Parts: sequence; structure tokens; C-alpha cells
Amino acid sequence: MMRRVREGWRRLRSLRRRKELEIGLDEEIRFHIDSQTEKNLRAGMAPDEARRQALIKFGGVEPAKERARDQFRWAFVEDFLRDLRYGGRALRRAPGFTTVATLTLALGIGATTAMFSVVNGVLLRPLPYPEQDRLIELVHEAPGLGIARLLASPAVYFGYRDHSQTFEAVGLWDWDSSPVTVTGSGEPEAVRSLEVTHEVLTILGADPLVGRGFREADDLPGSVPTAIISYGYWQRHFGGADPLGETLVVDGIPRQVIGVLPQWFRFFDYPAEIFYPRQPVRSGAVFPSGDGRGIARLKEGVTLGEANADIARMIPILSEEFPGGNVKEWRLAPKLRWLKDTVVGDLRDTLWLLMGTIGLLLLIACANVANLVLVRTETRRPELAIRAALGAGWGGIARVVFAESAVLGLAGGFAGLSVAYVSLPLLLSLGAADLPHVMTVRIDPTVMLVTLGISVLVTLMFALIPVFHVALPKLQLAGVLRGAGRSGTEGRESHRARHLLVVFQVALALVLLSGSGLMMRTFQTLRQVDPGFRDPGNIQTFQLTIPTAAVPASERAGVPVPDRTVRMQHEILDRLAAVAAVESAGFSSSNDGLPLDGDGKSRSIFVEGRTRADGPAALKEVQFVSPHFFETLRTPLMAGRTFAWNDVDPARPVVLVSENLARAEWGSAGAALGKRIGPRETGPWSEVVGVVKDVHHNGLSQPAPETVIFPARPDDTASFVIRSERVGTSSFLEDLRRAVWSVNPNLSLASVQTLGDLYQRSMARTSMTLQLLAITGAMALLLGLIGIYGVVSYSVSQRRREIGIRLALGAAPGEVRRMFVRHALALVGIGVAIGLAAAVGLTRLMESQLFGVSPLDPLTHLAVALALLAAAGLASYLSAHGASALDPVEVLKGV
Amino acid sequence: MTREKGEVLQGTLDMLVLRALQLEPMHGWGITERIEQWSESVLQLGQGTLYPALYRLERQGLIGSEWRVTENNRRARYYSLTTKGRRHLNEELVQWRRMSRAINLVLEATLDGGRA
Repeated sequence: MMRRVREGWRRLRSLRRRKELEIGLDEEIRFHIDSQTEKNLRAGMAPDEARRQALIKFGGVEPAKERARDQFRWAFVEDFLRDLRYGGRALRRAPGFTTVATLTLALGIGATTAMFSVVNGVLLRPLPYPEQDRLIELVHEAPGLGIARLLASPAVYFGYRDHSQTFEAVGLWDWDSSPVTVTGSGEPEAVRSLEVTHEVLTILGADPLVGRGFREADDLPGSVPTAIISYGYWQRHFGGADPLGETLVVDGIPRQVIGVLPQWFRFFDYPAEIFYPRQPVRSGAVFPSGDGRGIARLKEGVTLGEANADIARMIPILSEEFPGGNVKEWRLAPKLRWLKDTVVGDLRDTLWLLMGTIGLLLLIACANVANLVLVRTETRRPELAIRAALGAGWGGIARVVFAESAVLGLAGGFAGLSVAYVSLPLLLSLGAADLPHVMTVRIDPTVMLVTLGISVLVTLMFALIPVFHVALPKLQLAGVLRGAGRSGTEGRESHRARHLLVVFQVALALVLLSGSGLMMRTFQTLRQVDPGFRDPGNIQTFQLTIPTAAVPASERAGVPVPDRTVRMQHEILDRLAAVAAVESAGFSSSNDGLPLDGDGKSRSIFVEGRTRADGPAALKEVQFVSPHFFETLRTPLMAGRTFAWNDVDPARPVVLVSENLARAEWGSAGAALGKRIGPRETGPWSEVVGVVKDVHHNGLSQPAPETVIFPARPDDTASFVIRSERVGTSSFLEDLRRAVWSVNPNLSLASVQTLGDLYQRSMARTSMTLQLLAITGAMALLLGLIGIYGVVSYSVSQRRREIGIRLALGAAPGEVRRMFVRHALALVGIGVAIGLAAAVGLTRLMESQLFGVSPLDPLTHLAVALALLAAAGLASYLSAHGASALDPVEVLKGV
Repeated sequence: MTREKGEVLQGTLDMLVLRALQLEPMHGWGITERIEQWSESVLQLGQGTLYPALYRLERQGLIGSEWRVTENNRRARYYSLTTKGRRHLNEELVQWRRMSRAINLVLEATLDGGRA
């Protein structure tokens, strides 16, 4: 063995030194011929003749070189290729086996590759920003208020910018006023926008393609309004023509375009097209508070821990510089996150879970192929025995068996790659709502390399089993040879190996099926959660931004402009309600006021008569809605009344509260009526006039927040909800648009979607996980059943003689069949038992994906186990059919 | 290629090369000359076989090689026996002597038998 290794090493080295050797060989031969020529000269030959004779004596330079070269060739590669060719030929003679094995491998490897390319694209690859490993999001926690994630604020921005020792740059951004309305040239257009301080784009490495980036001067209130546009918007709006110096009227403010962002740049997953300066104001900034999102670039080599410590040091300084907050009561503490983690969020757990399940599927596929290869090796025993008898060592025989597996693995790998190419788009469409678009998922060289690695590993797994299998009982080969062609004596080891594989497969399939079962239960439970609204598919929603400046100057006289906004929204609502087939319509102020939109506002709310001594006021979700908002959602009214227009305009101090808030504060919905609450201990107070049923705001799996609902307030943007049977038709949307334009032709609808879309999206993660697990589970089941079917039918074919004798002696066909089914079910039973134990351990890993069902849910596990047993029983029954259909006479004659 | 009178017996080439190197390191041409000289010009190495043999022996670790400058100031590759090569040669020689003695015995015995 050692000798062989050394030999291989020398050849490898000679491979490396080949060029060197080639040159040496040339020189050596030239020297030889020259020396001979000299000798000939000394012997008195003429120079020409001397050389000619030397060459003749040498006898052909090229053949000599060629034969010398042969000595330093990498003969091993050639041997291996020869083995592969042999393996390929052998496989061509067994097309059924080859097809099934290759397809199974392709399925396993393909699924693994596709899933891995998602994991690689989303989790492993860095964010597409330069030096992204130094980017963080500025987040704090305030356990005193029960806030796990407090965002940044102007105070945070100014404070950390001025005092930090670990940050290279700090920026603040928000999309509060998105979408903006761009007017001026052509039709009004709602465009997604982002307000940024001048550092934000620089931190993300987005140097403008054309023009300049924001500077500090742009951030000063009162400076010339500027804007930077995305590459896409540049192409669409300006047709790629020079945009510098052009003016865009954004929400009524003329802004000068100063730059265009490069094409590659995406602001995370937010498709913003217009960026303009946020211009935060230092005076009056309060710390701590939450208003905007902070981003920072750490100095080189700074760890997250050091940055957190730096912030902890700055908190007292900021608290003094920006008074008004209460750091102690909030128990404010730094909780910085890498930007990458912010983007990926809790998708990490889900993706690794799915990767793990697909890995199990690959194992099942591998077991299946190992089983097939075992059976094939078994049937080739006579041939192998002949080879052994003719002098092939067991090493040689193992090589024959292995080469065949290697060809299979190679074919499986290539086919798997095609499967991955085909299935990746499907996978991405399943996860479209949930995967961060800023990360590109594709089959890149890393993925291919991993696929290659997987193929090799898989090949080793299913190839080594039969190789050892041949090696161990090599002494029995002689016996096999004697019995070749007569009876199917096969080694006990083979039986045992194949049975173990089936048990293994069944156990894994059970784990996967339990996982899908639990996800199915989760999905069901989620569907049963009462979201607080009815028939969301019949509710059209859109956002409308009324730029303050859009209100004609002539109408401003005497009326404060903000009030005009509400009045215009009221007018629009009336027109919308008058559209044919509209049942009811309402709106909620600002762009984050819809249920399940994943966004919202929260405030400290005090109850009259309770003091700070009772503990800090908890944050409540707040909402500002128009009359008919809850009627449109069909949220049941539990007590009192909802708003009327005279509550809104002019605003009266009345509020609605959610049922859970009423219960928590006053014991029941009815008891809440007439009570007063306010934003501070001292008021001003608003009277509770109604209690509505809880509405889910942050996803169905999160409890509905305790909510305080105020009358609609003046806000440029409002989210409209319109209930109609016509939702989903384009003519309906046209009618709505015309209704809006009849009030003001400069407005444009944004974020047009149904509440049903929002509802579906809130379940996107669950439904993606469910669908993938269900597909994986189904494939696992299929492969497992194929395995069982194969084992039984092979067993039948091996025991033909025995069956024939039994039948001849009068055994009923049903009895014979039952014998095989019983045997198969015993194996499956062991597999199920092991699988149940494994499932109990493994399903715990998916706890975070579950809702309303325990990972140990006995009903799910039991149902899956029984279903698997039943399916296995059926598979073995069908397979054993061949046994009872045997004609004993035929069988025994054939002996 | 036509069969020459002095072509080396199959399998003995390696032994001859090793033997030629037993006294001192030499280049390929030197080996040819040495064998020719020792065999009184009976054995002439087919050059097409010498260099492949040298590369093979080197790969097997029986000889080593290095580039040196000859008396005539030319670069040439000098081959020398390794310890392993030396041991191998000794074994081969013992083997060869036994074989050739046996063969001689057989040949002579046959002649005797023919006379009888």
C-alpha cells in the first residue's frame, strides 16, 4: 500500500515537473548525439558524415523521446478513465437500473443544489455594498417599555456622529413621506422615495454615476432643494438624457436633480427611485425617541461588541444633550446589528431548516441508489466470481464496482445540475414574497463547486457500501461460482445491508413527513386566526399622497393648510363611495395604517387617574382613521360607536380602543366607554366612545396589539380601503382613479393592492415553508415507497424456488403474499419507530416556524406514522403480487 | 527496427545500466560507451531504449540524477545509484549469477546427453 502511495506521489511530482523534464530530455539527447559525433570525428570521419552516423546509431530521436516521456506520464488518470469507460459500458447494458439510479440521484442532487444556491445567495454571500462587513444598523432596546428594537432618531444621528469613537460615518434615513407625487411634466406620478442624510448613500458605497452625491450643505434646512434619482428612474423619466440641472416637482417642491445612482445600486429591498435630503433638526431633538432608521459604517477592525460599548458610553452624554427622554425608565441599552442580519432577519432559521430537510431528502435518495447498486452487485456475483477466479484481486473487483458507481454519480451530478437550473426559478417564485431581493440568487461557481463536492460525497456513500460488501465476503466467491446460475444464494450481509437501508429510508421519510405535517397544522391554525376583518379579497387598498402644496393657493386663505388636506381626503372618499358597486369606503392617515402591512406607529398612552407610580406607560399601537374605516373592514363593533365626520373635522377629543386594550385596562368592552386616555400623565384627554374587535397588525402569528384609534389627522398620505364586489377588475380601478382625479387631477394612486394581498403576504413565510416541506416530504415518501417496493420484489425474485415449493405443497397464494407484506411491514415498523424518535428530536429545530402547534404534537406524528405504514403496506402488497402469481410448475421446471 | 546482433536481452537492460553506474555517476552517453567498452563492443544499447530506461529507473527511485558540467564545459545530466539502487543491483547480480549458472548447466548437460 505504502509503495503504491509513494509511486503515486512520484508520478504526481513528475507531472508537475513535466515541462522541466521535457526540456531536460531534449538537451540530454542533443548532448548524446554531439558526443557521438565528436567520437566519429576523432575516428577520422568528415563532419557531415560524423553527425549522420551518430544520428543513425541513435536510431530515431523522436521515438526515443516518446518512449522516455511515457515514463513520466500520469498513468493513473488513464487507468481511471479506462475504468470509467468500462463502467459506462456496463451501465449501458442495464438501462433500467441506470435510468432509475440516475433520476433518483438527479432529484436529490438537484434539489440540494437549488436550495443551496438560495442559502448561498441569501445567507452566505455578502450584501452588495463595498466593505459591507463594516455596516451596521443603529438599534437600541428598551426593555422598560417592552421594546425589543428601538430605531434611530435625529438625536441618535447627531449624538453618535459627534461623540462616537468607533463609527466612521453615521446616517439617518426614512420613507415616511413615500410615495411622493411628481408633477410638472406629463401625468402626475407616484414615485417611491427615501429621505436620507448626506452620509447614507456614501456609507452604502453608492457613488453617483452622473453628477454628485449629497453634501453636508444639502442637509441644512433652507438650502436649495435637491434630489438624486435611481438609474431606472433616469432611464424612464429622462430617457437617459442629461438630467443634471433638470427640476422635478416632488410633492409640490421643485427639486434640482444633482445626480444619478449606479445601475447596480438597490436600497435593500426598497425600490426607492427618488432620494432627497432628510434635513434633521437638532433643536428640540429628544433622546431617546424613535424616528427614522440609523445606519453606520464602523471604523476598520472595530467589533460589534466594541461599538456597543461605545454607545453605552455615549448614552448618558446624549441624554444630557437632548433632554426630554427617560433613559432610566426605558432601560435603554445598545443593540447594534450587522446590516446583513437586518436584511436577512429571521429568514436564516427558515432557510437552514429547509436546507436541512433537503439534505435528508438527498440521504434518502442516496440510500435508494445504494440499495439498487447492492442488488446489482448481488446479481453480478457470478460474473465477479469469474473475474476473481481469473486472477483479479479483490482490489480490481472493487475498482470495477466502484467505477460503475462513479459513472452513476457523475451522471447524477450533471443531471442534478440541470434539475437545479429548472427548479430554481420555481423555488424563487415560491419564496418571492419573502426573500430579500437585494441578494441575488443564482447558480454560481461556488454552488457548482459544492454540487461537485456533494456528488463526490454521495458517490462515495452509495459506492462504498457495495465495495465493502464485495470485499468482506470475498472468500465466498468460490461458493457463488459453483452455484452460479442455479440458485440465488446470497450473503446474509447483503440482506442485512439492504434491510438497514430501507429502515434508514423509512425513518428519514417519517421525519420529513412529520415536518410537513406540523407545517400543515400551522397553516391551518393561521387560517383560523380571526384577523379582525372579513373577506379581505373584496377590499381594494391604495395610498394617496396629497402634497400640501397641491392645495390651490386660492383655497388656502383663512383655512389652515393641513385641514384642507383632510377636507380633500373627505371629498375623495365621498367620490369613491359613489363609484358603482362600492359598498363602503374609508381611509387611515399616513402610509402605515393598514392591517398586516408590517408597519405602524406606537405611542405611550396614559389612562386618566393612573400615575407614573403605577409603572411606565406601555406603548400602544396608534391609528388615525376616517369614518366608515372599520365598517369597510367589517371589524365588529363591541361597544359604543365608531367615528362620524363631525369627530374628524374639526377634530374632537374622542378615541376608539381595541377590545384587548379595553379588557386589560377596565375589565370589559362596556366598561371602557366614557373613560379618558391621553398621551401624557396630564392629558390632554380623549374620551373612549367605542370599542372595536382586535385587528392583527404585525402578522397573524403575532398577537393583535392593544390599539388606540384616533380620528383621521392631517397627513399628506392616506391609505384608502374600499369594499366592493368589483375588486380585482381593471374597470373598477379605472373608476376609482377617475373618482380621485375628479377631485384633483394631480394625484396618483400608489401601492395598489387588495387587503387579500396583504393577508396572503403575512402568511408568505409559512406558506413557502409549507410548500417546500410538502414537496420534500412527498418526494421522500415516493423514494421510500420505491425502496420498499424494490426490496420486496427483489426478495420475491430471489425466493422463487421456495415460493414455488410452498405453492406446490398447497400454500394459498394470499398466504405467500402476506408473508412478504408481513416481512416488509416489520422493516417499515422498525423504520417508523426510529423515525418517530428522530422526529421528536429534530422537529424541535423548527419550533420557530410553528404556530399554534407543538413540535411534539402527538396527533401529527401518529397520523404521519400510520399513513406511512399504510402506504408501505400497499407498496409491499403490490410488489408481492408477483409472488402469488407464480406458477409453481414453471418455477420448479426451471430449476 | 531490425534485430541487431548485440541487442540486449529483455530484462537485462536495467541491470546493465545499474552496473555501469556502480563505480561512478555518468551521463547517458557515458553509459553507452561504458557498456560498449566492457562488452568489447558486443553489446550496443539501442538508444531508443536507454533513455526510457533511465527515466523509469529514476521514477522507481533506483537512480538519481543531477545536471553537471563536463570536462568539455557542456551541461549534461549525470546519473548515479541510490542506496536502494545499489541494493537492488546486488540482488539482481546474485539472481543473475544463479540463473546464468543454471542455464549453462542445462546447456552443457544437454550437449553431454546428445553425445551419449
